[in-house]
Amino acid sequence: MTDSVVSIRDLTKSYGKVRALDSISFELSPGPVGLLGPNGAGKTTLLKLLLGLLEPDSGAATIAGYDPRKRADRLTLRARIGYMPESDCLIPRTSAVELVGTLARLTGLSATDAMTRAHEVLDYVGLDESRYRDCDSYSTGMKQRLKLAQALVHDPPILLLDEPTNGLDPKGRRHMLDLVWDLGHVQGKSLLLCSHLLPDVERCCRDVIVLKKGRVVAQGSIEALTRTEARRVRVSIDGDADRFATELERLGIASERDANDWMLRLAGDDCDVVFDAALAAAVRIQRVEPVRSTLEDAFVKTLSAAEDERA
Amino acid sequence: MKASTHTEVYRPFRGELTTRRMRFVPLLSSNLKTATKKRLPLVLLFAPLAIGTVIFSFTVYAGFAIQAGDPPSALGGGASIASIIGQALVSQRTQQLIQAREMIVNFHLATNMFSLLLMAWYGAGVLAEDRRLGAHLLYFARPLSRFDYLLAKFLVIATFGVLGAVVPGLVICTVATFASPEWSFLREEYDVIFSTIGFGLLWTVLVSSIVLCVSSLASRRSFALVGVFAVFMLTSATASIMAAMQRDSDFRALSPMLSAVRLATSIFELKARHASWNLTLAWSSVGAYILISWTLVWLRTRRMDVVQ
Repeated sequence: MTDSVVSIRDLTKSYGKVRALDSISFELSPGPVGLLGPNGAGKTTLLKLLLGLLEPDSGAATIAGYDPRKRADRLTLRARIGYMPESDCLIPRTSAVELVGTLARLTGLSATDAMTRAHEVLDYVGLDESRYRDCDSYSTGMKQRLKLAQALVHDPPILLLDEPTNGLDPKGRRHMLDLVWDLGHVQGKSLLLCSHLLPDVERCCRDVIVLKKGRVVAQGSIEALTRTEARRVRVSIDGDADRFATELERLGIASERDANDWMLRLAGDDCDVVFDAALAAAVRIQRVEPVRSTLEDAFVKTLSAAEDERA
Repeated sequence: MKASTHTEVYRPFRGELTTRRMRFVPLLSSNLKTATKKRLPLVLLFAPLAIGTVIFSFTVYAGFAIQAGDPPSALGGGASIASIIGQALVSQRTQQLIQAREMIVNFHLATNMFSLLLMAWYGAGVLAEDRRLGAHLLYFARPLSRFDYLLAKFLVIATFGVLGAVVPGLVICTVATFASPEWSFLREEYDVIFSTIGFGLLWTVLVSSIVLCVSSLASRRSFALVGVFAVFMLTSATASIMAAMQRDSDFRALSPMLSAVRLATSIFELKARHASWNLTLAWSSVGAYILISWTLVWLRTRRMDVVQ
């Protein structure tokens, strides 16, 4: 087993003339990782390639040290991965306990273990008494939690979650994200969270990979990606705001004012110029804090940069 | 170690995953459980087969009983007119069907449409619905081979086939065994039991294979159901018309159903009362249908496991 959980080299996959993945390469270390990208970016294709449900045109991928292209490896690694598909995919006229228990047995648990484990994971995801009901009658939120439960039933070290918050109301979404966060940060699972919803990834993951049109356009820790915009500072002052504005203008600092708060764009990392302006304007600085851009800012910027590069 | 939103904790699994070979078993039992959840179709589909089994069993029993000079009380006791008429009717019927082997063949011919309906009803959706719902993603995301998956799906259909084609035949054989004087059925006609099992299994495998194939080709269960009947009805109609037009009975080999009837007469070693055409062609036809069905199933399900 290698240090990286997932290792991908020049992976390419096309559907007819459409290139879903275009020679992508990256390595993922253990922990929660977000796979971000707009619709059609190739996220689901990548997950299916990692599971061996699709065969690549070229390139190689290994997950937990196994090559999904080889049949023996494929069967072994599928016991170590929990996959939560995006589509409904639940079997009608089956209760949650039956479904999760059956899937547990298919993964290799004994009948007794499978039933015990099914109840444990259904408890964990919060499907209480409804676990005995046929899943046809479930709400979207319950179906999503059931899909998460089936992915967890064999306690895999790696989880591939495809759009787990799709179609959920705010409460259901918060619940799902809490579970994903718990799995990634407390239970120590390596998870690949595939989503086009930036706040979901920002909340649950440490690292992120941004895909666009089958290519990796950004990769790294969320902290590093959002730091690229760290030259902005938020300043609160006590004193003559107009004089402070004049001094800022004189020093060539772009500013936006919101009551007593100012959003300043600095040319360098040094904040001394802010204090110089305050001194000259005879105002008291109450607070200076760097403003980190949201992942959404970084995401939009990254995608725009990728567009420009292609053009 | 609590998930922050509710009261339950995540418990790691302390056991071990086995690498057992027969992974199709849980899938088979789960599919059977799901299929039999709706009671009404189950009752409606099994009712004709159950009624047929009772009628044919009673006829066999009555035949042996009269042969032994002890008419069944259900036909009336003593020398009443009703009893005499009843005995006469049964005797007449018995003379025609006293041979248990012929009874079982007749039972198969009388009920094969019902067993076909049973298998088609429960088998039409096995692959079509998995594909439509995406349920195969749940199965193939686990260490389940395509062979195990298909075996489980095939056995789901075959289970209903056995219940509809083999079990009733064995019930009639059992009745014949106990009704025959001095176990004569078991001593002289024991091969009928093997023939019953053999032909029932052949019919089950043939129909199950075709149903599985149509299910793999159809996009939803209802289409598959129509497709199964289309295969059997159209081939039988075509075969009969061709045989009549060309005045050549061998054209009946085009139909899996007519071929099965021909094989029944051979397996039960009956004189060619039902069919007299080329036996080799009938075997070839049944073999070809099974082979083609499985080839198509194998190719179609390739895309469910790993898509190239």
